[in-house]
Parts: sequence; C-alpha cells; structure tokens
Amino acid sequence: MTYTLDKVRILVVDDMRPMLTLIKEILQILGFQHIDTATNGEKAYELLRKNDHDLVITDWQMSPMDGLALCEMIRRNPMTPNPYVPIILMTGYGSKEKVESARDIGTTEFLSKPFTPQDLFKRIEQVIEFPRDFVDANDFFGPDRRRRKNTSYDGPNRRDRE
Amino acid sequence: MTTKKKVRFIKPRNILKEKAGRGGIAPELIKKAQDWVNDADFDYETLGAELIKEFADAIKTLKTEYDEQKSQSGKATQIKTFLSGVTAAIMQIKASGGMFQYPLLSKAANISLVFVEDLTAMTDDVFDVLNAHHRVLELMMTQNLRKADTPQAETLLNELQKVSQRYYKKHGYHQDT
Repeated sequence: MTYTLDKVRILVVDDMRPMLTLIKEILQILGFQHIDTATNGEKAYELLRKNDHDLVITDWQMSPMDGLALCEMIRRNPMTPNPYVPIILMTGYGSKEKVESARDIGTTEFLSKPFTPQDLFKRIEQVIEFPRDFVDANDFFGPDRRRRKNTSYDGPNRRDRE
Repeated sequence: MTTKKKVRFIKPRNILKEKAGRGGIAPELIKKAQDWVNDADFDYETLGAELIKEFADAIKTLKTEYDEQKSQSGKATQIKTFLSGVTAAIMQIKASGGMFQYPLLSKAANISLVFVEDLTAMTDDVFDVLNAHHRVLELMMTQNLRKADTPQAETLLNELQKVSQRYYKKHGYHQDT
C-alpha cells in the first residue's frame, strides 16, 4: 500500500517560473493531482483562501510578499481557512540564524535548495507522519519549535533526583 | 496593564494523513521523478546569466554604499543588513543551479554564500573576494561547466575556497563590527 496523494490539495509558491514548473512536475510524478501555483505571497494567499490547501510549499525570497510574510499571514490572519496547514519553506539559505528565523515565524519544515525529488518527498513524508503540535502564545503561533523527544534514552532523569 | 495570554498547546487534525493514508511513495516513482529531472531540457543559460549579472550588480551597489558609509562615519555598520543584497543574489544562484543540472554552480555559490554569511565586518578586501567569486561563477556559466565531480571542477572549487581562506587568514575569522 502506498500514499493516495490525488486528493491532497497542494500550493507551491516560487517567483522563479522554471522552478515552479520543475517542482510541479516532480509532484505530479509523485502522485499529486491538485496542485496550485503562485509566483508571490499575495497571490498565494488569495489561492489559499479560495482552495483551502492541505500543504503549502513556498520559497523564501519573493516580491512583493516573501515566504516568511506569507507564513505569518497564514498563521495569524483570521481569514485563513486552516491556520494549522503544514508549511514547507524552501531556500538556498543555510545558516543557523536563517533557519531559526524561519522556524520562529511558524514554518513546519525547512527544505534546502538545491534539492532532489527524494529530499522533497522526505519533507512531505515528515509532515504527514510526524505532525507537530501547535503552540499559541503571546508572541508566537505555530508548530512547537522544540523538536521531538528522544525516546531512545532510558537512563535516569536528573530532575527526578532533585 | 496588559494581561499575559496563557500558552496553549493544540493538537490539530492531521488532514494530510487522513487524505494520504499510509505506506509512503513507491521508490520507482521517486526514481522516475529523478530521471525526469536528469533528462529534462531546461533552458537555464538565460536565467543563470541573469542571476550572475544580479550578483555583479549587487557587488557594485554594496561598493557604493560601503564607500558612502566609510566617508561618513569611517566604519560600516549592521553587517547582515548591509550584505543582504549580495547574500540574496548568491543564494539564488546556489538554490537554482543544482536544480537545473548545474551542480557545480551551486557548489561554487555555496562557498561564496558561506564567505558572506561568516563576515562580521566590512573591509576593502571583501570586494576582491566577491569579484573573484563572481568571475569564477561567470566562467562556469559561459564555459558551460556543469559537473561538480571532474578534476577541473575540483580545482575551481579549491581555488574559491583558497580565496576565502586567504581573506580570513589576513583579517581573522571573527571580527568586531
């Protein structure tokens, strides 16, 4: 048995049209059929409001609205149909502070460009199989920024002794 | 006085899982997608050349701003903001090259990206490094050098690394802003 991806509505956002075509083709080969595309955050948000996607894959650097602003809008705007929608942020940036700023704005996963179809699938599989709880706090609304617990540790807990 | 909102943890409905079901994706589909990427006839020459030109323009803009700042205060400030145009231009080359069958371009751009991301202060020599990196990236495009696993590619990448290393040897790795 394999995933049934033909019912999943996916939104791909990138200002580089050849990149958009490339990613769409990869997703189609993997089995997605409902794929919307947009070249900036504003157009993407309009489509999201209309089609209530199940997954958003967006580039970071775009104009007039970039990927981080789109993510923030999805998470915080009351007009968003599903503020919990998983968001995979694609970018060529790789520095720790960039990754942290993306995480702090509410992205679900980070996909470093350039990537292979296998890399893309792994991120999609991650959001399907290991969804993260959401945190609603004063200054943050988004997936829990703490990574999953290490369940392989079976030694004593220091705090238990205190 | 503002009241602090209580932190809530929410377990959202996993709509994706409900629709996708179980079992992953057949490996042959991933291979099919990779084969398609390998065989696709992309026209990256135009886009790549544009991105490399944007990199050159970003270096020029940075130089103008740097010279202006130097003449005003004698010292550049807020390095990350200051470098953001150049960083973004290099990042676009790194991000796209490898996606469109130019892996060497991505690897070379990554060396440039690491160089600018590690900078904590501006010096005149930064421009020598950036211009050298730009020349190598341009050469890769004009000579259609795509593969990253050839001896020639290795030599070019090593040379780029050495340019960065020489800079950091001269100016130190961590500098005060």
